[in-house]
Amino acid sequence: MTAAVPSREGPAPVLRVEDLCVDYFTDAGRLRACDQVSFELGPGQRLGLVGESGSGKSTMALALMRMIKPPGKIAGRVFVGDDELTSMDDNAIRSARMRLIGMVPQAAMSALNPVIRIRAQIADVLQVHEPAMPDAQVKARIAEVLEAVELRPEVANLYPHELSGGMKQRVCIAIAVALRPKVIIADEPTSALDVIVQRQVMDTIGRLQREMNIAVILIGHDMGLMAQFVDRLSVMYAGKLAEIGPTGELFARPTHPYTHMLISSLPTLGKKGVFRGIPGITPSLLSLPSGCYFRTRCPYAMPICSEVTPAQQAHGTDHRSSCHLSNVEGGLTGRIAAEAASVPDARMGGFS
Amino acid sequence: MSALLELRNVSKIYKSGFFSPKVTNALDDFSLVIDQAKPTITAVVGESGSGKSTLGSLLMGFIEPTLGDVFYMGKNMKALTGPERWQFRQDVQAIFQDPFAAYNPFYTVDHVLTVPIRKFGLASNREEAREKMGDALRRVGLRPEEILGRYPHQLSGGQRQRIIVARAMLLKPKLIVADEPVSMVDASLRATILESIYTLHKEMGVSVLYITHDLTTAYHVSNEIIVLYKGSVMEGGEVASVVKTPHHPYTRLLIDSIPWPDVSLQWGKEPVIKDDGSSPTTSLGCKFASRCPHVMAKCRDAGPPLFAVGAQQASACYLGESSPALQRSELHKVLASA
Ligand SMILES: Nc1ncnc2c1ncn2[C@@H]1O[C@H](COP(=O)(O)OP(=O)(O)OP(=O)(O)O)[C@@H](O)[C@H]1O
Ligand SMILES: Nc1ncnc2c1ncn2[C@@H]1O[C@H](COP(=O)(O)OP(=O)(O)OP(=O)(O)O)[C@@H](O)[C@H]1O
Ligand code: SF4
Ligand SMILES: [Mg+2]
Ligand SMILES: [Mg+2]
Repeated sequence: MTAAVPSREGPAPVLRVEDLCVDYFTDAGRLRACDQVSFELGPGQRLGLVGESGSGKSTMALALMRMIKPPGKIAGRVFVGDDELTSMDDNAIRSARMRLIGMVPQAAMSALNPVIRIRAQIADVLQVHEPAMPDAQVKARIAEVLEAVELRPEVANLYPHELSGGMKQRVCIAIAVALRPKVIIADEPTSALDVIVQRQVMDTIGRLQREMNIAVILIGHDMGLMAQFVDRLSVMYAGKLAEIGPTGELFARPTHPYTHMLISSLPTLGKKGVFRGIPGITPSLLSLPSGCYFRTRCPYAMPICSEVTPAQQAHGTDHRSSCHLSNVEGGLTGRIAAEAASVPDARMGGFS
Repeated sequence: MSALLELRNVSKIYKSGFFSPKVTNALDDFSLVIDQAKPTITAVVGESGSGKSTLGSLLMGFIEPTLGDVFYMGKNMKALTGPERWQFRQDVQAIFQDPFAAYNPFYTVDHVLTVPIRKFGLASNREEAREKMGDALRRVGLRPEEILGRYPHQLSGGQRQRIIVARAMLLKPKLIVADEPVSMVDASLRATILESIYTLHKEMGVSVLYITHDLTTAYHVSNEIIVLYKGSVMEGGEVASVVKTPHHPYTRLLIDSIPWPDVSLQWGKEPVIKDDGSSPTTSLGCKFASRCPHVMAKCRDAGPPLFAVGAQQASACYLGESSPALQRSELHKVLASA
């Protein structure tokens, strides 16, 4: 199934992903951690990717950069502008990575090499891609990328342990943007930082996005951060894209029950003490249920949900989801309204 | 009121480095009363290194104060007899950040529950032990038949952490010190765990010290809140008044930096001033001075006392000077009325 992405007005997308699949092979069998994911990203857009632990977020990010290690296997197509990453040979992809797509990998700040100065860690990226670059220019570029992430040039002389968490994360971002890519993927860049430092780091990423017109894919599971930072949001469940659309629309009118439950389980400032987790546990990717993967936790599951895999459906432009409720009169919105009318505050038991 | 635990003017000072010792005031002249008669959930928030875990460790008796005293049931911790110490270990239970660390991967999860039952002689036979385990698991919203007999890796992070909550409850403690209990679990499971902690507090009348750097959950589960910065209390009081009308500039910055999951709210209006390291780390002067947008000359000379800026709110900032001053040891006055 090729997703029906409605054609949109505006500039050509910088990133185009078609039916991306990733299979891992483990002792217990094959598992598909990324399953037919398709989407587009416009220049300078901010896209969020949420989903619980193990839903395949990092896998998708690695697959976009063709960084899945064998025996893992990638299928589908990824384009950055007119370059197709998925058809490049190994040499070409090595030079394209970081130049087309930059990445701040999950837990990157703890992966910085502790015995190498920051200068050398940044120079490394520059020289792998431009071996002929003269030393003076390397030096200038290092100062420039450090400045871009709001670090003093002297930081180049330090070792990772001499930096605070927020500074280390800035260094990782500097490395990701060193080759001025069109897209950066930031995999949970702030989950180890406290709120104030998180805000400063996100400010920096936002400024790079604006000033260099870099498109950003922000991976995480903090819906608050998503609400505040991204223009569009995608929700992953068990390797599949459950829903994708403009952030405001997803919050106001989710069309997949998982998105709805994610949002209504969130604490807000208004209703103190009202929040409740999503019951049940994520199915194992090794033994997925038939039909819709969410049906084992879905309060709205119908007989068809265990028989047929729901296809992706568009809800207006730029908003898609995969749920059988889209074919039911009133859809998810109707169900939620009916539920609220019969038992006030049914699901949101809450505290106090 | 009868105090279960009391910290009276407690400081914990660490000296590290042999040749040029670096002195860290991990906790600085801190006082707190955990009331026995009125169970509460107290949130302790603050950035990394602000002294939250130090406070937790002092309450659990893992470390001793450098200055000041800790009292358990009115008696100085240093003077507890053997049986009193045993009672203390039942009364005060801990829940830590990493639920996996409490498990041995070679044993089924039953092990984490049978050990305390045996150690504290909570059951006289196998049957009774099983019943107790089942009961504890059900209280945290787990089905014993789905949990018992499984190995740790066969459970989700949320389930593992709820079993730890169940274990803490087996001993019918009076206080649970929960140090970042949800920061390592998936955001979508956090609510479930906090819900189980909250239920136990309600149903069994346990007090909880909830240590976190997540203000959002602190606001939702707790009755009162203490904001720490570099070992000192910046603000404290009833949670809704502190979160909705923060007084201290540091608290304001913290609250302003929370990304609320609401697209209509604007994130980050207050400017963030970087720490230039010029604030004193000793008791002299306000520790937030070098980052404070409202800093005045006197802030750098002497640290402000607490000012009772509301009926249930105290702030250690000269901007609250027109309100009555409180001694640092009187923090519980604004907390207890909550
Ligand atoms: N190299 C690998 N070999 C086999 N299975 C893998 C491998 N890497 C990941 N997986 C599995 O693929 C699934 C998706 O993992 P992934 O790391 O992409 O999840 P995630 O959404 O990023 O989770 P988190 O929020 O915890 O980072 C998981 O079930 C994981 O166990
Ligand atoms: N055993 C120790 N020796 C030396 N310094 C210590 C020791 N334990 C803690 N500290 C220091 O005391 C201060 C407070 O530490 P504490 O662990 O209480 O902070 P925290 O608020 O729990 O931080 P986090 O959010 O990172 O867990 C820190 O500066 C820390 O480096
Ligand atoms: S397809 Fe069915 S089970 Fe799946 S989310 Fe929609 S209603 Fe629930
Ligand atoms: Mg990941
Ligand atoms: Mg700590």
